[in-house]
Amino acid sequence: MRDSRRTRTIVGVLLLISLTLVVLSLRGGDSARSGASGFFAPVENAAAAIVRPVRDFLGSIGSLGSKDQQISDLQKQVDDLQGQLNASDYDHNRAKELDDLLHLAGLGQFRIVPAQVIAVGPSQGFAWTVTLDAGRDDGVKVDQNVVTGQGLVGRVVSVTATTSTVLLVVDATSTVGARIESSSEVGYLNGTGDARTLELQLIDPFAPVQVGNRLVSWGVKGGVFTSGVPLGTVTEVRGTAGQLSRIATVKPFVDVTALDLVGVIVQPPRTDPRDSVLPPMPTASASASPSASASSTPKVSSTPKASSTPKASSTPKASSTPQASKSPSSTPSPGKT
Amino acid sequence: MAWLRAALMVALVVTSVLLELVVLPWLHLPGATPDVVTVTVIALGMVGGPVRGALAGFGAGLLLDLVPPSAGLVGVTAVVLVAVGYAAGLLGQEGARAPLVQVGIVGLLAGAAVLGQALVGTVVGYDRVAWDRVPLLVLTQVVYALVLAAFVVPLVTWLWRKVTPSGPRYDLVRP
Repeated sequence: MRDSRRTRTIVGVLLLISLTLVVLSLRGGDSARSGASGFFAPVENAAAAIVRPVRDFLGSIGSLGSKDQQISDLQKQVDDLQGQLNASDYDHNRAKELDDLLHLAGLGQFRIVPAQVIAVGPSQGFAWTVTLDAGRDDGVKVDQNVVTGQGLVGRVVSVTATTSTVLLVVDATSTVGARIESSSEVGYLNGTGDARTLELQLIDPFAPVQVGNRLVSWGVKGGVFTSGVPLGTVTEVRGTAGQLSRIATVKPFVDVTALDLVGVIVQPPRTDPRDSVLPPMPTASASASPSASASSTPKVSSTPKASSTPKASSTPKASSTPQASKSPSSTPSPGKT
Repeated sequence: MAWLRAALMVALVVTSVLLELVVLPWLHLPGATPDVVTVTVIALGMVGGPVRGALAGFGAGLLLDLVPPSAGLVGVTAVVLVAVGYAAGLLGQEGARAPLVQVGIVGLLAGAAVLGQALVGTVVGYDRVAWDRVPLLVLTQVVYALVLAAFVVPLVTWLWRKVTPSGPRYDLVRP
């Protein structure tokens, strides 16, 4: 049976080549991948550019029904029709995404390069990665952080001239330094491979952590991660204080399965923004968090030094005037002013 | 006309890779992204035979492992898809099967592909494999593969017949 022997030989050779590639890849070295990505990345870019208008068109179809209705009342409501065309839901969402991104960048004083997600890694590979359409030519470098208006998305792991690949925070091999809001308890936030859970391990096993605590990123100067980027909320704490195995489950702020517009932080802030980038606490709690007032007006963030002593701004009225950063010692009852 | 068949295989593989990485994620479907690439490889194996299925699987797997946004080990997908393409060729060769059986084969092999990736990853020491997600992934992939098979298999069969010289048992005519 000449044919089946030839078949088996060919299949055997193919399997052998694949396994050799796996072994070579295990030893490290990404030269084949960078070669192929340099060639294929523009193709992905082109495909995304082709699909995007179709998707935008499909997204705006929802407003067609109301358009027909409005056209029939055209004589009376021409202005309304114009207004609704300009402010369709889809455009609103895009504008809001951009707004949130710029707001976060303004608060934290990051310099960002906006980018769109053009490809998402297949989930069977168990790796959570996406490709952006910003690359070396746009100033993106390896190890830069990627954010949306909600918080941290991930870290750039490889760059070509026009695209870059981002490792998401939920990937099993991702580790981010994290700090609990309004305290100095730090730890490591690890991805689990699940899109909605991260795991926090605090460095101090006795540090207090409760459900509802929010986390911001924490990084050393010159390190990989930018400080002050919102990460997520603690949803569950397993184990008791003092146990080394105490793990907190965290729900990330960003929904990584619905990424579209993101920003790459190409220049981190000069000083640590601490908690100023977090949105105001949803419930007005007695422990007035410094972020509540610091983010009320973006201009306040231009002096992030005001929030560098969290205890000083424990009374929100004191921190509403940035020049009062030295006042906490001299005004025991700022409420009187 | 062998080059025409080869060109069709290349075109189908590249298109399926682009579809899976660029177009399908935007639909934000629940669970995993439908694996168009695996279904295409299975379809090519069923119409072209075990060797062509294995070759298509090798090319598709390598492409998926190399192009962005891949980040894992290069070659794992290639190993799995070579096996899947070969198996599809063996299973599909028994004459013209009923369409339902063909769709069933596609679903079975798609689920096996996900399991295979988890297995190979674990064997080579890939630290990302999350076995607690595997059952859900297998289930969603089988469902999506069954749906996709209804479109992909007839399309690939029709295209294949267009580029193959007439006569269904051409290969067996050779001495």
